[in-house]
Amino acid sequence: MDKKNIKGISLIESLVCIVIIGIGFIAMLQLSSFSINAMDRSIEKNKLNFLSEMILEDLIGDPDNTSNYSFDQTGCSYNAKGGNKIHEKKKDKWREKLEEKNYIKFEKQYNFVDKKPSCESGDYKKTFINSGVGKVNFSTGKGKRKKYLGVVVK
Amino acid sequence: MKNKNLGFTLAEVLVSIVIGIMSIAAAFSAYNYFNKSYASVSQKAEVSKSARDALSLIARDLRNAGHIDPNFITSSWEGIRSQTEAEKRMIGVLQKYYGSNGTGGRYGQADQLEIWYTISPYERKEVTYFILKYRDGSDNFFLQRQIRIFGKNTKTFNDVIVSHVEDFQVILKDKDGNVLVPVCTFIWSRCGPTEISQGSNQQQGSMLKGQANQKLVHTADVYLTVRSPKEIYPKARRTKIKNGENSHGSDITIPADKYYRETFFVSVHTRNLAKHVAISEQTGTSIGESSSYNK
Repeated sequence: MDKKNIKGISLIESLVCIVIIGIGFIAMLQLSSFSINAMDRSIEKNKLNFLSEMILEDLIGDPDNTSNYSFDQTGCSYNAKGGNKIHEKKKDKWREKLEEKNYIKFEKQYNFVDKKPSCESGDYKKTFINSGVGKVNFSTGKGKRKKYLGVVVK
Repeated sequence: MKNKNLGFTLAEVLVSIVIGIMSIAAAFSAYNYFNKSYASVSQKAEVSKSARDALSLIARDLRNAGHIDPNFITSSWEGIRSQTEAEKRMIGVLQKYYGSNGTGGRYGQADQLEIWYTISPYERKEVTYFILKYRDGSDNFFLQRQIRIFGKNTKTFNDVIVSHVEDFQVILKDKDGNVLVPVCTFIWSRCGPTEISQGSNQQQGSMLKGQANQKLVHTADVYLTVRSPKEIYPKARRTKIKNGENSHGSDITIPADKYYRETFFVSVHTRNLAKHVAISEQTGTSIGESSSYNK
């Protein structure tokens, strides 16, 4: 009988085997993690759809004044600009709604803090108004994912 | 044949047992983590989908609110024979009050929205949105969409459009972006105590104030807060919900629990109520600066 035939598996061989199975296992976990993140992103995109509709509805509601509705919100910090004119009020409303200000607050230690939507540096929300056409451009995921919606206002 | 029965040494067996236990523990904890994440994200997705479907329906009804078919006055099966009579029933919001039907939701602060529009020269549709409690003994509330079609025969349909509703607020605004109250029809007592305290029954021309305000509605902001059916968070925590403008919206503090909550918002321009007049007919450039609406 050959000596090698009855030797079985060495510790090194079994470790290599475990490493290979581990790599496969990690790949599976990453796949599952990716699909969970994709579902989360889809929920966020859904929200953005309605927020972009809000902006377009406001443009439709004030068709003679669309040139004043140019909007550029880059980054994640929203501050009300104030003003009494309708477009100024509307733009402050957009800032507030895009930030989901005050909707829901969680208790954190002894204070309530705002539950904020996901936002990363490089994200932006813009409107473009040109010859009676209003466009909304939302960018999320550090500027990687872009969404355009447009409407003929007038 | 010296090596024939060698097998593993004790050290090898011990090392392999430790590695095996570590792999099984890692696999188990990873499975547990992803299972929980999946359950949590699916609950969120369910909440998101049902609320979005509901808001799409509400937005569609709001866009139609107040539409009166050009032939409706002469052909109405409701017996309406004047524009003023038709315009008395277009849109209304009952703030925090449901009469004998309910309690204003779990926290007694939810609104009721009613919308009227013609669907043919003969028929008018009334759509009412309000929160009701399930009758199965649970402490869950749902948003109901009640449709009544007033034609030759009145037909009524009731649909549950979203479950586990925590709050429902509708804030109507005029062309200047100011909150508009009271707005109610006063037909079949469709103005609640809040509207009456705001002067809804005061005469204003040929209509009551609540009715006359219907034509001034330019924008409707709708807030819908929905809770997950199952608990998600590992630790209980208190939550605050604040929907809408101060004194016109809700301000709710919920005792500590593990549920996920999300507020969904939609803003709709009510095209058939505060109607836009072409720029050639108006005096200014902006609806905020001119009187181009309902001149």
